[in-house]
Amino acid sequence: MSLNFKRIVFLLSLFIFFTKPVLAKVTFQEILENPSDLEINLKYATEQEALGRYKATLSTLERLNMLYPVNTDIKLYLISILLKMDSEAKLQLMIEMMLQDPNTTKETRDYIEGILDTIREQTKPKLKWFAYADINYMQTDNSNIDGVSKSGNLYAQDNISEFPGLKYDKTYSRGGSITVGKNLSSTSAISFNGGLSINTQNKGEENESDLASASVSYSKIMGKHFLLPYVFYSRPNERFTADLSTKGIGFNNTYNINQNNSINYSSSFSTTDYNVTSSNYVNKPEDANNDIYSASVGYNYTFSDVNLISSKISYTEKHALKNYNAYTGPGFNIGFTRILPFGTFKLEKTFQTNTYEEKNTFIHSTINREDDIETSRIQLSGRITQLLPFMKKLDPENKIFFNLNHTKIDSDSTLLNNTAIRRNTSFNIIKRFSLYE
Amino acid sequence: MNKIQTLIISLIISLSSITFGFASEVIGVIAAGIGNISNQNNEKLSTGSKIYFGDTIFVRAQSNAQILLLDETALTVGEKSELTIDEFIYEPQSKVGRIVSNIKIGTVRIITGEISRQNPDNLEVNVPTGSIGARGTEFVVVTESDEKSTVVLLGPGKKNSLGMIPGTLNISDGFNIVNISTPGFQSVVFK
Repeated sequence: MSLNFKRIVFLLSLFIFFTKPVLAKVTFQEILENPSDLEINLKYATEQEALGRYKATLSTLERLNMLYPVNTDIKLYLISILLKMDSEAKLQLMIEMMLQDPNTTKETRDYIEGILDTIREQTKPKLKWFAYADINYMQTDNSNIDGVSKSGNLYAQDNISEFPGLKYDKTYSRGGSITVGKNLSSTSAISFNGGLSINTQNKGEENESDLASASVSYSKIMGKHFLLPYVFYSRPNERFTADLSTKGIGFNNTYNINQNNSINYSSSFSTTDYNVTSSNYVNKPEDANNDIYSASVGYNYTFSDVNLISSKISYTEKHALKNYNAYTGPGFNIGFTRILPFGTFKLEKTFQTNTYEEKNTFIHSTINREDDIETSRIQLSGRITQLLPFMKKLDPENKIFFNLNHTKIDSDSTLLNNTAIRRNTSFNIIKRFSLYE
Repeated sequence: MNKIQTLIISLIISLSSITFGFASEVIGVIAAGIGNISNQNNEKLSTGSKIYFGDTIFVRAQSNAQILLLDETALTVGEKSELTIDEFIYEPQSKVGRIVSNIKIGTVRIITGEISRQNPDNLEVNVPTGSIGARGTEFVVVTESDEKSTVVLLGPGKKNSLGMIPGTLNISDGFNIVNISTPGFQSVVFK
């Protein structure tokens, strides 16, 4: 881990953990000391709800409901939480108690019943079509866009020469996508997504393209399983290099063992074809045509409702037209995610070792290529109103999303050419428009 | 400072941070007290009254109470109920501990707190006819007599929109164990 990356992680961690007490103002100790204070307890309930600690919200609201039995706002807040929790038996009990309570006025009773009907209607599974459009802008600072080696040199036919690539550059991506889907039942849905993006580069040109992509996915909840099979297609129209197309199929399943533990496993297959060229170059683009098979098994542990530790082992097998482009790569990933008031924070580390099938004699006649790739990532994502609360006036429906990302890819290889460090820092903003719901 | 001194000081610091359930040790409060509520010494309890280890709480007719323990376990006690906190150990930093509560009679609704979240085996609710272990959930115990108790899992339902997973209850009559993982399901424990 480089000094800069360590510094970013350290500063961000300090920021997160020192800002938390400022944001979560009411402590449980204050509740123990002031269990009947309406203002403090209501504030605590809303803060705990925002942190995802719904049981604390529930017990606080129940207490307030006992202490302030004629307060309609507390009853309605409590009903909304019970409905979200799908606690049917308890909801019926609470409603019955509220309606039978002599302190509950006729007006309040009518109000509760009316609101209940509305909320029930809203929370019914929507068995119909939905559609939305996203427009997206992303800017990325790349520290080593062409993957210039650490030494600045490369092998070419066994000889060492200077690596001629570009290092620092910026890339820009502007795009849009449309998603159309249908809820097939209360536990399943299908969705179709199509998108276009224009990718440009500031100084260089190798990363410039117009990308068209499409995918179809089906989601199904079966008991404790959440299944997600999908197919996808992407077709970059490269402006200065050979065009290619990739199509693939895969599935992902999450098995929720219990409230805190889940297992995730996935598998995918993709095939990439480059446009056939008529050039007489030794290395033709179509030599990189490939099929990729990959599979992974992961374990996730959730604690305190807002923290997630995840780990995953993976295996990738790449078959290529030319065996010097083919490899097998076992990998390991570990991550930590925390839901914060201003977004979802994620730290992630991935290790992968790719062992290539054959020597590329155009590069080096005796060295077998093997890459050890260490990827470190730090990310903050969420709704823009979480990060900048004053944006609520501009985004009252919470449909602008952001993603701040810093990635460092440190590759050590038996070949000089592939021993490189790349650092990418990106800012991504997405605006969503509901078309039909 | 030699090793023995270091060890003794470390031990003192460790032990001082643990809330043991000894007599005169506060383990929670009456967070809401409506009506006639008292303890084993016949002292009247009301909202804000402290609960000590070993206390027996009596909630009389037309009364109810919510007891909030230090680990955020919430017990809502209905009228004509009697319960004791027989054991309470809690370390606030690690959130590890153990609760044993005894419901002699009446209706008690329990929302589990940090102790159960860390280790569900460490929350035990005893009734005259058996015992209940709970994991990350909400449940109600109705003890009608020394011979019959009913336990209902309330917890979040399967269709909850909060990403919560329904908890589980393990109910034992001393010979058999019944697991409940579907909210709304109940088990009756006879003597």
